Amino acid sequence: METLSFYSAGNRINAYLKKPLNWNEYDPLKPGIIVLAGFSGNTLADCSHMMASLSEAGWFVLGFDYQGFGGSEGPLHRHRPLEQVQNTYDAISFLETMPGVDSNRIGLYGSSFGGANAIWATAHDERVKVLVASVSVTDGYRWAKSIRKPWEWNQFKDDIYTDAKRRVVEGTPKFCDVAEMMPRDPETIAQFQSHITSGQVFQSTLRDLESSEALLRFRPEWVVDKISPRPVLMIYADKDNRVPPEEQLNCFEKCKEPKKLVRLFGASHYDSYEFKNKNISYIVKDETIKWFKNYL
Amino acid sequence: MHYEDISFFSDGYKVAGQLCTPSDYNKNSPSRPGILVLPGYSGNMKVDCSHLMRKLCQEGWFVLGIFYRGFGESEGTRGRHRPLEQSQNAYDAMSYMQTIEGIDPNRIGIYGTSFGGANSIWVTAHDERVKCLVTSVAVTNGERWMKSIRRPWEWWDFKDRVMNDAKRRVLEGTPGMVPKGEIMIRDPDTASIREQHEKEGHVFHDFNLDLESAESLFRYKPEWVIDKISPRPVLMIYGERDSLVPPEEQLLCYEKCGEPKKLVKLPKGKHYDSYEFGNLELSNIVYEETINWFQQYL
Repeated sequence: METLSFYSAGNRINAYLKKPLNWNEYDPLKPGIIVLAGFSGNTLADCSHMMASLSEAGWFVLGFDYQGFGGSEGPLHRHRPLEQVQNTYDAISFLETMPGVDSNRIGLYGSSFGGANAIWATAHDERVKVLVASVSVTDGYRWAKSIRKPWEWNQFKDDIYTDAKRRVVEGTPKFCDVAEMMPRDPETIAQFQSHITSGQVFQSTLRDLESSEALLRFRPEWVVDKISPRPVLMIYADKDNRVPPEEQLNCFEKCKEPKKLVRLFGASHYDSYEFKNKNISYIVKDETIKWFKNYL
Repeated sequence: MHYEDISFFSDGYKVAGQLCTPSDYNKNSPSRPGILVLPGYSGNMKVDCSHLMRKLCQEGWFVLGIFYRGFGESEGTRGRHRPLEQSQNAYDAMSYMQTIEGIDPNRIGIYGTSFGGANSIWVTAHDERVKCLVTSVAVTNGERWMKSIRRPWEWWDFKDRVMNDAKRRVLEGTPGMVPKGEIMIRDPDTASIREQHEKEGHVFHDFNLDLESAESLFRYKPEWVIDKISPRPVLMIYGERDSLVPPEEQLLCYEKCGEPKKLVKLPKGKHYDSYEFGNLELSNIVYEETINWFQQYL
């Protein structure tokens, strides 16, 4: 894996490139796929297995750290979907400059919150030709609501908008733990513990409250119908408590053809990743590779 | 009527605005609606919006006009036009309005003119605090707008230029600046109005813009989300002979808008005929329809 960088919104973005297996510069141009990390923005933990599989299948694969995450520049403790999407547009421009990449054959793969960014970016950028979204958030507002009890949800919203009124007057951010922003199910808690034990580095466990405000306004489902006739594969885990299946099922309904929905039976959120479940993540890889082979 | 220059914070920048307090308001009055007014592409709130703000305030409403970040009296990098950042300024302007004594936080309306109309549609769709919307001579789909004011071959050249600069920009990290008129092409009406403004001493800060401004404009499509505004009421006003923001911008978007809604045509109106400094008679229609709409629904 090669480490590179490009610029986005004034920030130097840290990127990871995997070339197609056995690639040499005399090969014909090959498709390029960008892999988008999830809510915690840990690109290497989230994406490295999928990146390896896609490059073995013969494609250029680019991953990157969102601004403010991992090795990228940018203010910390700040989650702004629209800025992450801007990073994605710029990653596409960067991939287009790479020797060997066919800029007319660029695909996006996003998992978890990266799926939300991938849907938004595909709808808004015609350079993306094929999309795969796995265990994906599709409507920030509904997602934040779905993982709370009703009274917790009302309190959460009140807290956000009360802080917005303070923030516009004082000009300073207020922080909370990321687990307060998005309460974690038991699987997620265990998964983070295991990531940390295995040495994965998470830049920050804090987020400003405006991150929540921005999340409530980020609704890729509203624009998923703009992607057709470009093909969309959506994969969901039917026992996902981190990003409940309604996120993918409701969005899939609004998506137009060609599209395909794949269900991971009896699977939790992290079962879709190789680090958690070899068998189920194999289905994700297999379906993803077939989809890109078919359409990209 | 009392005018006050104010500022609030948005994304780390001090955003400047003008707050108009109705003359019949005093501390013992019940709280009343507040209207946020969003200026157009050149972002000069005091030129674009001052007449309309005065009219709305005379009706007894609080009115806040803002300079987007990077424009006019606001902080921020000059020479960049980012619709999504301007929308963020508008969300934060509403949070600010909700802190003002006398404004009823549950009765906030937005009026947006020209590009401010695009922002106002986007913001209303994404923020349930907006209860009622009026747009006048509004852009509604950035890509279609940019395409519609160019001949086909000019459009493809322009798009190539913008997307080629993106490839340079991500490697070099520096903006590619161009005169603003190369992005927003001026029709003769616009050119003469601008000349008139400059003669009157109005200061503009938008002579050069980076090409990423065009890229982000291509991706800005409020029309895609206008159907999320209903059941909140939308009034759309358009100039029949608008050559800066052609009527298709408003007509196609209006079709996708849910009820309640109303469409008002300014007969033979050009873009700037919708403003008091351009045409007294037609701008009066704008005032009357806007005031009626807010009176009925806000």
